Parts: sequence; C-alpha cells; structure tokens
Amino acid sequence: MPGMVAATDASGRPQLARVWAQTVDADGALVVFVARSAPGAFFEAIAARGRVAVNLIELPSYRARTFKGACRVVDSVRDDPEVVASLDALGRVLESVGMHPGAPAAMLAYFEDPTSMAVLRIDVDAIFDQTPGPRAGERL
Amino acid sequence: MRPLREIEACFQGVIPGYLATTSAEGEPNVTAISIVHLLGPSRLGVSCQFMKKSLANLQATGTAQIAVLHPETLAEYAIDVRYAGMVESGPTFDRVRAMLDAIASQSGMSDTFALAGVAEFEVMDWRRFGDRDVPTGASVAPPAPVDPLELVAQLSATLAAANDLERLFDSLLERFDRDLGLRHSFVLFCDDAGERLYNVASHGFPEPNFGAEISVGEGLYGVAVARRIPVRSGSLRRERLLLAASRDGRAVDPTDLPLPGLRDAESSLAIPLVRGDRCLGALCFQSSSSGVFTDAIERILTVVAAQLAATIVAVGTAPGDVALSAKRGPVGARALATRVKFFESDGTVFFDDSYLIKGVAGRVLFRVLSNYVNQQRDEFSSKEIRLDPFIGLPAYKDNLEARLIALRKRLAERAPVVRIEHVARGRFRLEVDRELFLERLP
Repeated sequence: MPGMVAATDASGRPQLARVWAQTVDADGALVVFVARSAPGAFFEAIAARGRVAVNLIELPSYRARTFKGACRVVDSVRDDPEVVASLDALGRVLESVGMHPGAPAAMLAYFEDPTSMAVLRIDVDAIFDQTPGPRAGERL
Repeated sequence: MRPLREIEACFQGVIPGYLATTSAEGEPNVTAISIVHLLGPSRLGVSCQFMKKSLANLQATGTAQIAVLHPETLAEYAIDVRYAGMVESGPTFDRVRAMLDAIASQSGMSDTFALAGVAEFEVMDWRRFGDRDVPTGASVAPPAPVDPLELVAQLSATLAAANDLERLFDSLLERFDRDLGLRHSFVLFCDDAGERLYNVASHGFPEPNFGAEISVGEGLYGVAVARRIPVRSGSLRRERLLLAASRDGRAVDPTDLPLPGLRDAESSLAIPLVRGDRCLGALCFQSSSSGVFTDAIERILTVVAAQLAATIVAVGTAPGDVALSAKRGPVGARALATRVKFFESDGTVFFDDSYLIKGVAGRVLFRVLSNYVNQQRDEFSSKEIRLDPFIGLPAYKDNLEARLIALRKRLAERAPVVRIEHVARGRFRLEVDRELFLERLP
C-alpha cells in the first residue's frame, strides 16, 4: 500500500522518504523498505533521533493509519523477492485509483540504484487513525 | 531556489501529497494531503481537514516538509517549508474551498470534507527525490500563448463584434481550440431561478448533449457558478472512479442527460460568467491530459469570461422579440410519422420513445409543436411564449433566447426531423419534415 515515513533531523526539521514495501516481523515490529539512495538527510535524521512516523493508506478504500515508534536501520537488500512482490501489488492498487500499474517502477527509476532498499525496523508504540472523516487523528 | 512554476503540475491535485511536521520534542508526524495549492512564486497552501496533530506541530515549531508527485513524469519532490499562518477567510480560502467542494460533490463525499482553513507556507527550498534524470518526453501543458495580451485583444474583438449569442458561443469555443489548444469546451447557462444550469454550446465532444442540466452547486461546474470562482480539477479520473463506485447498481434515468464529457478526462476547468451581482453561467473545459489548465490559461479565460458576461447581457437584453415561423417539409417526407410524448409533470419530451429534452425548453417545444399540429400556425412570437402560463417563464430574466439555442441544438443533435432555424437576430423558423402525433401525459 502507498506510504511515507518521516523522521526529524538534528536541527528539528522533518525529512520524508517513500515506503516501497512493508511487513511485520516475528516480534511484531513494523518493517518498512525505503530506497537506499533516498535523501541522505533522511537517514541522518534516523541516526540523530531514532524516531519515525509511518503513514500507510489502503486503496481503494482510503483507510489510513499512522504508526509511530523507535526506528533503526537493520539491513539493506537488493532485488528482495518480498519487495518485488510488494511493488507489483502496489502497482495494482495504484491502477485501481487510475494510475499506471508501472508507476512504482517509474518512480524508482529516478534513484541511482532502484532495486536496493534499506530495511527499517520500527517498534510501534502508538497507532493513529488517519482515514478522512470524524475519527481522523484518533489514537487506536 | 528555482521557481516553483517548474513543477506547477504537481499542484493540481492529480495525486495526493504528504505533509511531515515535527513536535517541539522532535516527534515526527506525517499525513496525506489531497491538494497542495500553488499560491505564489514561493508560497503554498494546504487545505486543512483532519490535521489536528499537524497543526499543533506547525504552531509549535513552524517547520515542515511537503512531498508532491508530478502526475506525468512521476518524479517526486521534497519541499522544505515554513508555516506562515492559517487563513480562514478571503480569496485564498474561498478558492480552495470551491475546489474542495467541487471534488467532494463529484466524488459523492460532500458530507466528508469540511474546510477548517488553509495553512499557508513559505517555501525555503525544494528538490527532487532521487539523483538520476529520467527522460520522459512528456509534455504536460500546451505551449503558452506567445503574447497573452494580443490573444485577449483578439478574443475581445470577437466579443465586441457579436450580435447573436449562438454564433458568438460557437466562434468563441472554436477560438479557444485554435488559439489556446483547449479542444473540448461547453457553455452552461443559468436558469431564471438561479437553480439549474443547462448546456447551450459545445465544442469538441463526441456527444454535445445540448440541453443537459445540472444543479447550481453540483460538481465542479456547479460549484464554480455557486461560488463565482474559477474551479480546476486535475484528478477527474480518480473522482470518476469514486463516483462510478457510488452509483454502482443504480438504475439509469433516461431523462438524466449527462453534460458533455470525455471518457478519459484527466483535468477540467470552470470559469464563472459573472456580471454585477449575477452569475449567468460558466465556461467549462475538459482535457484528457494533466496540467493543461495552468494559472496563465485561467487568467486569460477569466478576462474573456468577464467580457463575455457583459456581452451576453448586452445582446440578450437588446430590443427585438424572438419570433418563430413554421415551414412544413416536403409532402413525401411527411408520409413518415414521429410520435411526440410530453410529460406535464416535468416538461419532458420524448421523440419516438427517445428522450429529447425537459423543463422549460421541453414546454416551449411542445407548445410550438402543438400550435403547429392543431392550429397550423406558422408564426410564434416571444411575447406569447413569455406570457403563456403553460410554459411558466418568469416576468423578467427569462433567458428565452438561450433556451432556444439549447433547444435548437438539441433538436439538430437528436431529432433533425424538427428544426428551429436561425433566420436573423431574434428570429427563428420551425421546420418539420414529418407528420407529428402528439401525446400529452400527466
């Protein structure tokens, strides 16, 4: 599902990176994949403060959640089958709202090494409803 | 910093963006935002709905990052911004609210979206995500007019020379196509009560659908008239999907004639025709490309629309009654017959069981055809139409001439056996090629 992750850098500025795949590991932690050649400021922000917010949107229902917690970069992968499958699935859900199914690959083509991902592990300590409507912002 | 205009297409709401903020304690937050509005060379606006935490963070730290996606190239951009304050009234607020109302109305979510305000941001810097250039070859906007003032001057000349609304609409839409590359356009006229809009001119659509109606306030075009503000949408495809889902399974009303529309429309623009305290209707445009309706195009069309509104008032209220005379077609052709059904409840007219038109235009048509069939009357004047209680036109601002334009074009489109031919300014002739059997139903 489409998503974005934000971290705060040492000077207090937020830094964004797109989430290309996500899963939950055996310990219940949220695992997200971002492009390794995402802006360096984003990775520096994680190193500086170690907290992130992840927004994920389910399409075509537009049901959305924000997950917050402590984060660290645990690994890097290249051509990971889980990521490849997730990009295919992302293409299909984007197609359901009118975008081209090849949109994820086209977006990643701007990165120097598009199949190389950094793996972020997040110990979620707060979840918020972000679905448009009266419950938006409510802690779950 | 390079001008934000370089990525103007990112600010037309085709693909939602994201807003990241941070609390005073450094806790990050991120939320999706439907449209990022380009308010000036280095100023952005974000409509505030469901953004309680983001707003609290902005008030605490004033710093944020916005991510937007270019709809054609799919390049993603990070924009560092500083919070400049919340706008809760005024032109910026009205403009954003109109656009949001249009989206909500088109997607059937009018109860979901409520605009609390517009958060304004000063842009500090912006850059593309990713470090590779990807040649796309995509052209997202038509070439800008070489000289906008020269173009406006030429369009003004067209308006100044007008003495007939129908020809004026047709020539103007043709010029928008030729000079601005706006290939698909139509004109909506507001009815006498200010409640309904009906299509009187159409250019470049497979189905012109003259006489099609919507309510004032309905959808993008209706909102532009209700708010008297130009309204753009760059995400018609997404809204069309939502609307289709909400309509799934519902029976189609044969009299529910849709406005002209492209099956693959990506973007749309409506410019209200405002004259004094009245809104006479709207100039409406569609495109199957994103990013066509730029600020520059909108400014040109807004100037032209203001002059068009003045011309409509001048031409439409000039002395000279509308007169109709009838002419029977050849006897051979009249050996064929057409059955005309008229429903009194809403003025709907069917020709051989095919829906033609309804409302005031339907009543005018049935009255004219009734007089033709029953009394063999050859001539009709606007005076008797205006005074006829069966038709129910108001005592003033009746827009009869615009009604006749819509009716005439609708007949030419769907029932060419009956024609209202333009003879001279304010004068029309009814031509009938077949025997008519009229049926009046409750």
